[in-house]
Amino acid sequence: MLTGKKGLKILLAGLLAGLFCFRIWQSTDCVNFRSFTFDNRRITATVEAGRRYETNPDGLLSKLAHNKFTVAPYEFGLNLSALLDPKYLLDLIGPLGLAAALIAVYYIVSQRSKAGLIYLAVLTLVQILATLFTSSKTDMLILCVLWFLLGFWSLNFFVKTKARLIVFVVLWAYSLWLFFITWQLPLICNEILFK
Amino acid sequence: MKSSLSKLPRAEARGIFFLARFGYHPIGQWPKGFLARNKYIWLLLILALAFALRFYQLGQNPPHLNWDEASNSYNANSILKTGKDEYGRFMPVLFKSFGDYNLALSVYPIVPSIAIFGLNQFAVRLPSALFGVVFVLFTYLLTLKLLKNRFTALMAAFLIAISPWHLQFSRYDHEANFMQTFILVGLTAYFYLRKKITGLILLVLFFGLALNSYHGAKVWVPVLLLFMTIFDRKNILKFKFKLILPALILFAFCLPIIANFQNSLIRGQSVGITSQKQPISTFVSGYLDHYSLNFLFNAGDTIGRHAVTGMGELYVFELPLILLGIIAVVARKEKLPKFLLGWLLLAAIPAALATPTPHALRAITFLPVWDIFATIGIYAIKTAKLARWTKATVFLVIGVIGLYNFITYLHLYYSHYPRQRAVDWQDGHRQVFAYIKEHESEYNSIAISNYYGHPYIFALFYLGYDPALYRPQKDGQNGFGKYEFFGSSWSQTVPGKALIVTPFWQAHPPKVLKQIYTADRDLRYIISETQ
Repeated sequence: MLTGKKGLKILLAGLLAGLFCFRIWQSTDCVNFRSFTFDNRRITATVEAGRRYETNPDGLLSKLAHNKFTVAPYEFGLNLSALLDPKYLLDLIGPLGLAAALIAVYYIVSQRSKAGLIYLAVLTLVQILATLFTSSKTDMLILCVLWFLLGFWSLNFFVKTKARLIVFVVLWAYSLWLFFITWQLPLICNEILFK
Repeated sequence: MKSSLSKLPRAEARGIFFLARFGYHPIGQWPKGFLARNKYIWLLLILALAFALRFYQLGQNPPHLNWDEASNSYNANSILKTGKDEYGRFMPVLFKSFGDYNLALSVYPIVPSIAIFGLNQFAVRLPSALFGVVFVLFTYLLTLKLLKNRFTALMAAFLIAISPWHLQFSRYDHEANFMQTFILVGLTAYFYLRKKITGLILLVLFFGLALNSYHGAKVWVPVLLLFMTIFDRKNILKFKFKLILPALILFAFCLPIIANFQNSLIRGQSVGITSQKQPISTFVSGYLDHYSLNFLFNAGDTIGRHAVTGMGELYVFELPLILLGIIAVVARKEKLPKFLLGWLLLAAIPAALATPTPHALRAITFLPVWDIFATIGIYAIKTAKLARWTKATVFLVIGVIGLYNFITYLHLYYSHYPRQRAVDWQDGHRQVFAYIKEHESEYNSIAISNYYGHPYIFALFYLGYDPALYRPQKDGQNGFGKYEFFGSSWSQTVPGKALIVTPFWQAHPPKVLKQIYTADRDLRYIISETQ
């Protein structure tokens, strides 16, 4: 039987995994996940809105300043930043997940963990790719799992002192309670399929 | 958490990752070469740029005074001419204004400016612009002290000089800008004189001024002061009995708020989260909103007076630099740079205690910390163990994106913003009162719809109405002299010809004299007259 910090870590990992599995199971009831893909009509509308405020809307300067090439990165940024919105992440992985993810990033950076840095690079890349996928359900599930996994890097932090352990347990209970009461996943789902 | 790698020999610690490398280079070195010989010239150039960006078209853009600016400036004018505010109170410490009881330093700094330049848009905004330039200078000084590196300090000053967030609030009169400048000056004084009680005295002196300038300071100052006390407790506690003096000074600055406690709570009660159904979750949600990438780098604040449309509060090119900067500070062991991390985490608290969120104005508490992190990021790249051409390429890419971002900002601010956000600036009043001023003598009464809110203050400001004449009349917000302000309908009480100003959709006499358009060519007001 495992004892000491290693055993504690495994216990915390189990609690974290249980919490995350519950959230993923919950989100399978979504009919559609929130989509973050490009919307060509929106880009066109933004270009037209931008030209409206030019002195000469059809002039060269206006066309140079407001076109699909200048607006597309802005729209891309909108999608990407929506995926990384702390409030959205809080909804997705809960207070414990968010705290664990932040601590994990801190841990990876301060320890300069190679595996961790590679993982962060993959996570960043997937965020970017997620804005290009057309199937919102696929990219949402990939993102969920990746964010959840990041949290496991924080376990070393939580097992160090009793106070941190208490914080972990409190956040775990609070997250579970939040997941129960925010069944409708407002920021994640477009609609819920009630069975 | 201590870095275990810091114990390793340097060669062992080298990884394939760029991020793993830069932590070994001390920040406390001043680069050799041209910059070293011309450090003050660079600072002067940055200050000149800050001055130019804050003063160019200051009276014309933003396109119109908002009612808070009009109220503050008219009260300042009233203080200048009579020593009393618009309600007849002698040298008040709280200005009733529209019932929100603004703090003393929201009005008094404007008095000298109006005395010199008169009652106009430029004079109203001048103190804010000057505070903006001072802010740039103190960003330089604080960064220099905290990071002990002149290059980083210059870059921080440069980034804050061109910051869309800071430019927005130093180009119109708002006391939040005064507050944050006082805070920055206080912090700088403290860190320069940290070992002496004078540093602490100056800190509380400027924090006290901040407390009396903007409502948000009532949250921000205690939070920051508590953090400072915990952060630097060893240093502060060694002053022992000498701490009584700064405590007394701070108490003295709190007196105006304590003496008017009920009134000073009014603003907080109207926007605070205590009126929300779920205050805690509103707070958490609001707190996180201020770290949203969309707010920071993409769309900014949606309130028209707080940001230009199509830009974030920070430039996109700063995003990777800020991330690098945060990582660099986390990975390092020095104490003082860690102060910036604490600041970054606490700065959202005042804004999160109110709604709506994210709110660029209430979150002015973040300035200049984001830009300092960006400059640490720049320095991290500069000192990274990378090939020269790699670094040159990275800087070239950042520079090109940065230049594009800056040009885009200038274009949006000077070309789009005055028209796009004209309504947010309550555009139309100036044109209405310019017409009225010309034709005032032809009418027995002038009636103005108050649909768009507080037209009386615009009347007082744009007509340059004498405060001594205005004050003796009671209920001035509903009328003074031949002016009256009405709601949904107007009924004539004074016989004779009347000039009527209504929103374009409201019923008005058939004889239309003039149509008032906003800068965005939207019809706003109809000026008509009775037969």
